[in-house]
Amino acid sequence: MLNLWRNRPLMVTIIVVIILLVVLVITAGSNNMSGTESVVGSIFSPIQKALYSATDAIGDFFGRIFSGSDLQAENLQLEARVAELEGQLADYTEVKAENERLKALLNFDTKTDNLEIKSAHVIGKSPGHWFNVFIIDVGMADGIKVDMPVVNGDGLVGRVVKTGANYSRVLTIIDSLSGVSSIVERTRDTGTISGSNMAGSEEALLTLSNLPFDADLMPGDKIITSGLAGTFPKGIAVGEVVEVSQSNDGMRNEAVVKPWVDFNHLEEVMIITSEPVDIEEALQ
Amino acid sequence: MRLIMLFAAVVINAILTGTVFVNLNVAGIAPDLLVCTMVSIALLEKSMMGAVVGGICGLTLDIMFTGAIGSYSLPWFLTGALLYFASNQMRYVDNFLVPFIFAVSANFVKELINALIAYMLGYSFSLPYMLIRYSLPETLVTGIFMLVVHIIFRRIYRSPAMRPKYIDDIKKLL
Repeated sequence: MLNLWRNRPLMVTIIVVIILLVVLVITAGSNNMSGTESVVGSIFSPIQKALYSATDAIGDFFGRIFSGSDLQAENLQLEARVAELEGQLADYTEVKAENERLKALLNFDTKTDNLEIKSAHVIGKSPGHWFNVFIIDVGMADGIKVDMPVVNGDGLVGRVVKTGANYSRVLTIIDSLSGVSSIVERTRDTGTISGSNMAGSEEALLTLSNLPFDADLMPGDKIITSGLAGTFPKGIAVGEVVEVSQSNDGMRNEAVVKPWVDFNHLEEVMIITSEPVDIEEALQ
Repeated sequence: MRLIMLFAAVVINAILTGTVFVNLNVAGIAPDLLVCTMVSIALLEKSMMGAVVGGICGLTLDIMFTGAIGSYSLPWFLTGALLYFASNQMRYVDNFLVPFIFAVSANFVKELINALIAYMLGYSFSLPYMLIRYSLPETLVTGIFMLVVHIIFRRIYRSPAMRPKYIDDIKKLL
């Protein structure tokens, strides 16, 4: 025991580990950015921005080389996708007109048509594969606040969890601490989308749970935000059901959902800065 | 001079880890530069400085990314400390297999500590999946990358200003 006390490096290690564990427990649930965090973030964010954009293109280049993807097969897939989208576009005008009529009937003055959006660049991602957080180059000075939804052209990316003067931290929907109230577009069943693993990789998937007992899901069903929790406006694309399974208690259906956003190649995102849609108010 | 070099190591590691290596990955797998740095310092200096560099760099990443102080700094500090205790048990051998084995072992230990911390923070994940899909490939890539990093650190530690603890061992390299 005496030897243990005389072993200074060991004592230092034990003390530092205990301190870090205590601080970890204390700071884990905090949503407020401290002055130190804000200062460090402000110093690092310009450097991060320059290096991130410089290496992103190189990363993409190497990613494509090593991904082993068959360009010809990819081209064929894209051609098929273009044909599919052209078909959808033809139906779009008709659907839009129908949608407008239905909205007028319901007196549903949705605010999603008038969302205020702020664009931002991704300037850093959490290293490793245990956390799915990234940094964007806008902050409090740009009117960004905690809990604002973050989207890109493909759909929902996540939400702002902390803001500094000129940068913000975004928690992605594939992070297992994230939860999003969602609707199955076809059946209108509501559930909760959460990250089912922590990896920001190509196979990053989501889990749709808390569905009604009689929920009828099938692969290919599209999932959108419900707007019920108040953080995300209704109707933002989340992903597509790839597999339907039973929950642990065997009582309800669950679904594995593939997000539409490619979290490996996030460069630009948009932050919805307007207030989320109040569903109850909108339905009155 | 030595402190400036170590401070530079912290800054370079923090920035490259949070920007360059998250982009320059293959299928989500990238080497852990900080583990490589800590292994080189532990082997060449046989001091706790590797753990200090790991802890400070981890602290910077904690502040920048998670806000939960300890989520990066704890695994890196503890791995650095374990590297110090392990390297102290042996004389320096100028064989590249040694840093490779140290880097592979250190990275795997760091991944296990990371898993424990993620579990403590309330993350749900499949440990076998995470180990097979990410941790083991990353460990192997880190071991290979270690060889490059160690060449750089061997050159840096040839400078008298770095004042390594076991100068006789280093002299053999010159």
